[in-house]
Amino acid sequence: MQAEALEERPSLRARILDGELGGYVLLAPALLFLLALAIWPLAYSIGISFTNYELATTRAVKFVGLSNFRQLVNDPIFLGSLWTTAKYLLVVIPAQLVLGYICARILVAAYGMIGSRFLRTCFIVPTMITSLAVGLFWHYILDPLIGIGNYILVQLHITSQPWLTSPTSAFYTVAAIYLWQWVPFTALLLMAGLLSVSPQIFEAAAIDGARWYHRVFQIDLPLLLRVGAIACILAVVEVVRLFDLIYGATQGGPGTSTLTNALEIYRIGFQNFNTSYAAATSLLILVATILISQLFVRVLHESNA
Amino acid sequence: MDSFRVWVRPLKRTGIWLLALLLALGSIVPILWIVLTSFKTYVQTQRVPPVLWPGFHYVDNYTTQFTGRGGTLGSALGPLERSLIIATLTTAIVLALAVPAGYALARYRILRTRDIQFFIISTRMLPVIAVIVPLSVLLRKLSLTDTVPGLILVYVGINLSFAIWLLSIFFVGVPAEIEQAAQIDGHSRLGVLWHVSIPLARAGIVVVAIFTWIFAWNELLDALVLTTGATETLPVFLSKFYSQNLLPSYQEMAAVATIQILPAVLVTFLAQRYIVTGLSMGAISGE
Repeated sequence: MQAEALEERPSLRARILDGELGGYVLLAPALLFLLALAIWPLAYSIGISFTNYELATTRAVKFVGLSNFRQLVNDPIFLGSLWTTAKYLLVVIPAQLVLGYICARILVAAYGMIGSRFLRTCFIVPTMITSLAVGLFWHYILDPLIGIGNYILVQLHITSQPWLTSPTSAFYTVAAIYLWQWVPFTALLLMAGLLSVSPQIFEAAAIDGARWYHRVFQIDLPLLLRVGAIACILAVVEVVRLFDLIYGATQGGPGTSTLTNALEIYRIGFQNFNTSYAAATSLLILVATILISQLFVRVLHESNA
Repeated sequence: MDSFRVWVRPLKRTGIWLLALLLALGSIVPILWIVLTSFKTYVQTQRVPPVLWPGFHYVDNYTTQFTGRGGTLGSALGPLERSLIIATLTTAIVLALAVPAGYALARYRILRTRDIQFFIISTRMLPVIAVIVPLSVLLRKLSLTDTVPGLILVYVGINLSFAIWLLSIFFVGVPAEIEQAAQIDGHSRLGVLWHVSIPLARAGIVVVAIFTWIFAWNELLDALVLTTGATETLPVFLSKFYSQNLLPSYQEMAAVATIQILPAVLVTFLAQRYIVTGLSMGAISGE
């Protein structure tokens, strides 16, 4: 800058920080940290997945080629856990978006009413608390013998349900618990999306006498396309990493009915201490999430441009 | 027709309000049930029909869990202290790294800014399970497994990208004229950041602080893998109530769970404005 020439020369340190180079100095520590914690594990995962490395033993590490990957495609439990995660994606994502939209519409309609902000805050609490606690206390509420869930059903003359104790119902019960925790988040996102649109559009539609399904499919849906896509991608990521909630509710059981991919990788790597095999299995998730996040970035930037 | 409208509208509004109330109750009642359970005796938890209102006078579950010897699983006091320390230090370090980085992205000309932003957003989506295996090996090599600093290191890494991203959005929002005026007044660029931009972007800093703190306070998977016994965090302690539930002591679990969710619930109510900003902005805003 010209200022340098006019006054006495500032110290080298001050000159670097005041120039455009200073940006790199400010950015470097964080960026190095991120690189170390993202790139290094990626490289390392690929590396050890071709060996027989195990955390718990001190035996010599050997290069074993593709044998971990060969084991992977023949491992019924691992493949089953992939299928379970896929099933959760298929069941949960549409439900989360539809329920989220309905709740968002209610929140928008109630916006500005007395106490609506307080009610909204109550509604969002499940999203903020730890999923482990959510899993644990639904496990208690749905306890087959002493849980209040079945007690209420019996009072309503409905037969009590095996919620988390039979394989089929455990799968759907976990999905429902997940929705209880995450639908408020989706609803909040969609609410923000709806509120960012000028209310005249809705008023015009109301005056036109548009039917509710016209409003949903011809006004809301196109308006919410971007926010909805983001909510959808975030939900996918959340389901792929589904771990804490199941760890608290069923730990993957009964049998392997709620054993998601994340739980199975944890079991392989940290209960069976088969480190290199776990690295091979987690590579799959890594690649999948990188693809999903690229999609996310694209949605975000395209709609911004 | 007009008189019809006069009473239909309030009726409709009441209906909408009741629906909103229903949503709120659906979220809150299960949580209240756990809080109530934490004030029950073991015998009360086993009763059918359930004891609906135990009152708040029986506090043994809290006193046994959070004192010296503890309950069946040992004392939750150590894990509680550790979780407080870990969450607080993580938040401090994340802010120390992310404030300069976010500011640099917002205000300096940096080559390949867009690529850097892409990279930062990508790391934000990375699930813990995908990197936990190599991370556990890395920490072992650095002799940081089973230590508080090791876990903090990992938590900082996980939260950094979200923090940088959100803070750069807030820094972009600070009016450039005010910063230029301060520079003309003789502040260096770092002086401007410290005296002008940070105070003006404090809402962003509060949002980042809240979300980082809550994340570190809630996190289970990393803590489960990277800590044992003497270094376990409160979520890890809480998770043991599942594995040892041959004779479920739900009332003890409820007491620990209540303490575990308390900060998040409090923050949600006290800082609701920031929570909504964090949840929706973190997801929606692009740059």
